[in-house]
Amino acid sequence: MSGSTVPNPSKMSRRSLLAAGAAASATIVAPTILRAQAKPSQLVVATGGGKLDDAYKASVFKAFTEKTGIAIVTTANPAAKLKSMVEAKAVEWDLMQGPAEDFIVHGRNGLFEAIDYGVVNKAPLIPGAAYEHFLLTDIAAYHIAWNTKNLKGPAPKSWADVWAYQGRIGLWKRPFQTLEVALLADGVPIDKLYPLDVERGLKSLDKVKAKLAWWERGAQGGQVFIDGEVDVGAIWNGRVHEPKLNGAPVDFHFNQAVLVNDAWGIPKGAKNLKWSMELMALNMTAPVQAAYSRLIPYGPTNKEALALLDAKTIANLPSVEADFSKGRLLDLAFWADNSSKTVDRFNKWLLG
Amino acid sequence: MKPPGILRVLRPAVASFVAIALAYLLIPNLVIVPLSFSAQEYLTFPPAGFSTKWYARLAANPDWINAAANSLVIGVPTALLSMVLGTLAALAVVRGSLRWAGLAASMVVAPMMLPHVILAIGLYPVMLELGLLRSHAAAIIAHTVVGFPLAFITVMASLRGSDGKLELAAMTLGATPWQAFWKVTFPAIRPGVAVGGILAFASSFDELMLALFLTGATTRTLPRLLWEQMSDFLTPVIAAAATLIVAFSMVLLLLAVLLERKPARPREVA
Amino acid sequence: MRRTAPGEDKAGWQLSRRYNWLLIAPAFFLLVFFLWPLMRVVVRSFVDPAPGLANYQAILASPVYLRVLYNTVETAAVVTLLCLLIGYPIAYVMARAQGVKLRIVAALVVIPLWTSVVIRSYAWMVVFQRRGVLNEGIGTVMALFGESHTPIQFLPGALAVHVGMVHIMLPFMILPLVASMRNIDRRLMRAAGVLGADPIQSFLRVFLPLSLPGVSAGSALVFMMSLGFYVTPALLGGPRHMMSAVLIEQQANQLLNWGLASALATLLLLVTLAIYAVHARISGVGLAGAGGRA
Repeated sequence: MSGSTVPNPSKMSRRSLLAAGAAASATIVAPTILRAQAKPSQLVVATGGGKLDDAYKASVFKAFTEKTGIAIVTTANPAAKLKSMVEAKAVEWDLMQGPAEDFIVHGRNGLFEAIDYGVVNKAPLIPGAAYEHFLLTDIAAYHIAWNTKNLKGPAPKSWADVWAYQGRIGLWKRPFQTLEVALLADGVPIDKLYPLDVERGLKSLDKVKAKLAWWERGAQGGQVFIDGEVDVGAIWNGRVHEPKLNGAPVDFHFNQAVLVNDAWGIPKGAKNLKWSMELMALNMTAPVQAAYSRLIPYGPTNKEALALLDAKTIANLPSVEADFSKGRLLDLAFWADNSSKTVDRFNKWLLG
Repeated sequence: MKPPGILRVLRPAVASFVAIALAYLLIPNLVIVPLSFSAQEYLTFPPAGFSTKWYARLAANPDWINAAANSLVIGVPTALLSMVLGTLAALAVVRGSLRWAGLAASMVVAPMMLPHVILAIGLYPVMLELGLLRSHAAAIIAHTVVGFPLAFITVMASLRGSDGKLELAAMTLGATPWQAFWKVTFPAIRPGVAVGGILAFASSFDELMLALFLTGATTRTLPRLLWEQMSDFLTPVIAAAATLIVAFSMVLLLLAVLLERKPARPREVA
Repeated sequence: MRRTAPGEDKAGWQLSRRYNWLLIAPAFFLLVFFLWPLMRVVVRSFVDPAPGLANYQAILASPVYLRVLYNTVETAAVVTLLCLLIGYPIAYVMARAQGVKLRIVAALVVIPLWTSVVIRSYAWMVVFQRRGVLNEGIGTVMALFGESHTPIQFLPGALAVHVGMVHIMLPFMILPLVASMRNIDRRLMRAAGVLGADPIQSFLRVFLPLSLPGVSAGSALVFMMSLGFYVTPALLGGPRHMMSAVLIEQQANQLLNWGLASALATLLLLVTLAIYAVHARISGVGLAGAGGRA
């Protein structure tokens, strides 16, 4: 109480003493002290792990650390943890990567800080990449894949073939993307997917329930195909592209692929907001996006990045410009309005 | 009366059963070590080719280095704290005159027996309120709760093996209680204290559940990092990390065995 | 107080009272960081999200949760039984062994104990995977006979969970068994032999009954520790073989349902305490053998 009415003299004198000491000390030391106060030594970024993590580390994180001296530590990105951290006001993550379909809901639920478009330049981004609370950072393909050692008979050409396969089918344990391919397997034309018929999609999944082996995180998903834990199924192209080139017994194609986006958002109450935003901005720049696409075959959301890539790299990228007429882009607008209730419905279905 | 026929069959049967069971105990170590030297990225067994590249990759990854550092930063204070608390509790229970010593002892040992998950969900809000969540301190405290019973048990065992009357004798000869303790009792229980510390360290070094709830990305321990990486990808990097951790644990084990073997010299003062 | 025996004078009494004070620090530590958190779990199970018995009703009304609880006790029982069956012969050999043989057996028992539980469970995953050591091994053998082998689906499965858990718990069974077997007076066996009992009879009539304290201590220890297992069932068991600790972690960490998690934890706590109490009553002392000054 007394401290609020009268300026605390002892505190004042100590502070001024400190200031005097700092001023008196060598000018070489002073800047580093100031910088150390303003800047955290590291930022924590929650990601999907595995190959994605490797690609971030070698592109955007590396560039950020070189630019600012701040190290990046990565950790797993379960959505529940975001919620509990924000609600407990003990936020550990400075930034989070995850599926755009989830992020729309998180944004609405107040779990994310608003993006500062004074810091993040959205001019060069593809249309629809910049949202109030998050940014779309890349374009990936959720496509048909199989383990070549396990596969018996011809490779599946369509999702209907995947559904008909006698063996273990690996799918992502989330409604997004998985319901899309379930409907494609059930014969829904690819241009008539939306609005999704959720119940029909679940009925389609019912038909293969006994054969399903869910994977929950991207890194795990790639591995179950590579290790042969599953025979056929769906995975993102970045998880199996490089292993295939390195001789892992895995193959895939883009027929009937669903093009999807990774998103980045900043948890509400993140402790180093300024630096989180800087990292976000850096990740949207063309050189960084190009470096990322060279490391993992996910297309950039910065239009200028494509110009920095050679034809060979571009050929492997799912992108809006490339010829992906055999597949289609996921309709984020549908999920924006239906994500919450579909997630509930899907989770109930899982238990039943 | 004696049926030697049955015995002739029974003895080798028991012997081979025991041999098989002992081999079973070795399987995990026999799987992990060769896998860590595999040349291939994806899992094949027997591993194809020989390579040390996973160890190189491990050394180049700051995550693993940090986790190893965190395990030490958490494990060493846990061991020290456990030795102090375990010794205090053991002295009180064995040398004291508590009417409810038995109850006190069961209370001290209880954290070791209870499922860690119960303690983890109980400590989480406590640490959150104390502002300690995801700090090293939170993990040190939690690991000491489950680790100091180990020190308590080993110290108690060595106290029972030493003679309490010697201390009295020393005091009769003019030593202060403090002197009597340091000069007489402590030398006798020193191996027990040390082994207890090593056991507490080892239990912290291997603990997952409390670390899952109480540490963060920058304070996570080796078991937690292993756990996170494990559900992701089964590349031989994990096997390499595991091999190194096992090797380190074996050094600890050797240390504990050597310490225990060293004969206690409780009566040298007498 | 029984310590004031003849020969122990007033000084001894005062000294032992001085020692009593040493319990303050550990007791305070346990109170704040052990008993208080446990209390919070129990209280939370009745008040989160609303005061009442809703969490317990939810558990009792759900076949999924009841199955997990049943599965936890069943798995712990199976693991205890398997540990006893496998561990008893090993302990028998170890208790009789001398010199190098003893050292080898002891090393084989203790080395796994010092190998990280997470790492061992990971190793079992490598063994039981569809393209893991076991399936590839079977495939190789079958190929010798010109047969092909369709990989068996071990994961997730009860077999893998049992194999993994028994591996972790076995030393905790063997060590108390060895301790009690080493206490058995060899002369009793010899006496039985002199009196005409054959080795099998003297084992059944003399050795086995005398080793029962070890059986009881080992079984209680293994059963109690098995109840709280997380790593092995989480990694090797699927939803159908889920155990309580996995469910509690999931409810708290992934579903943020702390009230239900606390209720499940309270039930787990009660079961564990009950077993602890039963064992303490049977054997007359706590597991630490503490307090027994005799």
